[in-house]
Amino acid sequence: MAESMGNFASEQADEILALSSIFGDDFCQNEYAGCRTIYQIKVKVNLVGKKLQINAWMPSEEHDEQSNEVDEPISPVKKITFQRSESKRHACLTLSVSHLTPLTLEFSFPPDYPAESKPTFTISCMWLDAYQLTRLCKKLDELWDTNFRGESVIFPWVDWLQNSSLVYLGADDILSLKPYDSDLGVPRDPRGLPEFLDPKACALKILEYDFKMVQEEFRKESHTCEICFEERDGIFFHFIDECGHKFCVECLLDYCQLNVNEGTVKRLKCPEPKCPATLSPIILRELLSDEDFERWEQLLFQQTLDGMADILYCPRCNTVVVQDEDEMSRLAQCGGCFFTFCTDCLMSWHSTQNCGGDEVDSEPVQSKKLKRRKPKKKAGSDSDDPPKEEESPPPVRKKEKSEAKKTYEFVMLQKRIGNYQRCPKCRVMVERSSGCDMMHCSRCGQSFCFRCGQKIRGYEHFETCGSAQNANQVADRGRAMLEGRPVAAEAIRINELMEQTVHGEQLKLRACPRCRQRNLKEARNNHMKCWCCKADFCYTCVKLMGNPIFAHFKGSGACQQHSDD
Amino acid sequence: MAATRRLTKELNDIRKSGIRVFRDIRVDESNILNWQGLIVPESAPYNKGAFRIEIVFPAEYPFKPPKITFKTKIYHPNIDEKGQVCLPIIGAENWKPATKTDQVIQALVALVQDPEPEHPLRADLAEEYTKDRKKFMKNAEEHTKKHAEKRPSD
Repeated sequence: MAESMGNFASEQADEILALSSIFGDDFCQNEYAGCRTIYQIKVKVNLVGKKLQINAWMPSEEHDEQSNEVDEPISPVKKITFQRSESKRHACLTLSVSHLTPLTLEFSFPPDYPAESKPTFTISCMWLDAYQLTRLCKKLDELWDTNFRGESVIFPWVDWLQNSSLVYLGADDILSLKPYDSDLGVPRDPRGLPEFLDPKACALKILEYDFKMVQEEFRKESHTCEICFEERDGIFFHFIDECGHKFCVECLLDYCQLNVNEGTVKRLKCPEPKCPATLSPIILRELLSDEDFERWEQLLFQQTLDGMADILYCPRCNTVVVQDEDEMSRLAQCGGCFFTFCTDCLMSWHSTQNCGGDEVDSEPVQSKKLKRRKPKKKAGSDSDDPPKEEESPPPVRKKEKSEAKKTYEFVMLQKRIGNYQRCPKCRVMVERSSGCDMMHCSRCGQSFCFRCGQKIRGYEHFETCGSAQNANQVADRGRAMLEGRPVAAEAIRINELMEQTVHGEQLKLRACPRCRQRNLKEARNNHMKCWCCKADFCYTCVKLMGNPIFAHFKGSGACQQHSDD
Repeated sequence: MAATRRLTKELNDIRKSGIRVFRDIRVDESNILNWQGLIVPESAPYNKGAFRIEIVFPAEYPFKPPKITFKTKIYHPNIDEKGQVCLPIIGAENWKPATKTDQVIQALVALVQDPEPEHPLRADLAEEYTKDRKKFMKNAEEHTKKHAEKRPSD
């Protein structure tokens, strides 16, 4: 071996030493028994401009034939576009990057290098085809022959590949990736090894690499976080994959934790104004504690389920029930316990009478005034009202009450109930807290009109929804809907209790983990049943309880079913 | 703490920017979560006066949006008698933590100068605004002269 290496061994070793210090991690060597050492350099090709456009061409059949020219940004930041060629036989994915995946130069030194022979080498690359690689190989040969014979050639080669190869190939502005074509038309250089991938996969690989490099460059500098306005080193920032916006890790954590704690997981979008990107589970997994992450998953699942218009929970056993397809029908039957119930009031099925018809006894407010007003507001309410929401006056309960008190209660009722409207999607009652007639359901996120209760998207709806003065009449209708319902009584009772105490501090209140309505603890019992959605939950840990209920309070470390707190 | 630091910076930036439509910003040293300032509209019918507003930032700011109320009476379809205003950018469901107070104020001024009658808080004024613009402008101008604060002289 030593003999065959001739006299150039030390010269070669010097060159290797120099290359290894120049290229650092991009340089490596592989030794195989009985063979010459093979060296490898990952050559990062420098772009001529700041950005390079990449067009990835693929046969058109793969994609749907609906339109001739689709030009939709796939990612809001990267602006990837998708177009069809004029012949309509090809489709083109266009993207713009500032880094290209490195090409690989592998070489080994013959014993008589550099005096006589040039190094043996191969070039492999993901985004060059065999024809382009053949041209590169020829060019390297030429450089050796004309300029560097007898000298160390590796660095000049790499330098040329980095800075001049794209221009040489005419790919300095636009790089086209085409499907593999075996017929080159010219003899193919065996030293050029195209790492064949289909153009789309290749484009995505480059995009991924570009994103990684942009991040790496970002990490090296310091930046101002747009949430806390503090200047921090790049390593303290987190990128949101979908849109590329970045914020400091602390702020993102606070943001996620706050929304998970408050149950508003559907609001967890990129913090940048107007950016529609959602935070991926990967980011949340990294940021949140195991417990919070689990809570996030649970809440998201729950809220997604709740947001589905035809999903209900059996008021008896809490099993998920899919409602009848006919929206007008209020009938639902639980598959678990076969309980048949009304989807409006969640009480046993009643085909003819109105919701709460028999339960009215528990309703504290029944005044003659209320009854008299009814026919009037019926006439004023919208004609497109769904019939199920038209409710006749519930049976009058004659209670011994002073007229003054009745009047007071009536006024309070009007004040509160007038501020509610039912979400047309998930049917929870939503309180109007502030702002105009555009309501947003806090449970399922549906936007709807306070006046007519219909699903809406934007403010255009209000142009056709009659004048806003009708709003009061609609509020009347909301009240009519509610007054027959025992559930409303509970909301009013809690509100009144809260008004009597300072900020409801002494009250044992818990927001239902499913629908977020306030519930009051009865006596010492920690088993809570939400008056609104009938969910079972624990007063102590505020988690939903599965079936059977008692299992939650059993075992060591479990919550107590009865306590004074 | 995060809220205090960010608000200090935002306040400095806004003061430095010399924005003309939002001036005379008063902030109590002990409580930076509460700002008062003067909206000085540049277009009719509100350019005859200035309107004092209060911006209250929650302790969780910027993860939760600020609340804005008008302290000066204003004849405007989107601002009610109590001074409440419906501004989508600070709605709980639209709020983004990276939204700057400066952007919120710009949005508010835009709403004041260009009423959006399709989502009113005062339906009567919205109707007047759409059906009889002349009358609305006259009423609003009179109301402004009568109730609004003096515009800063500089």
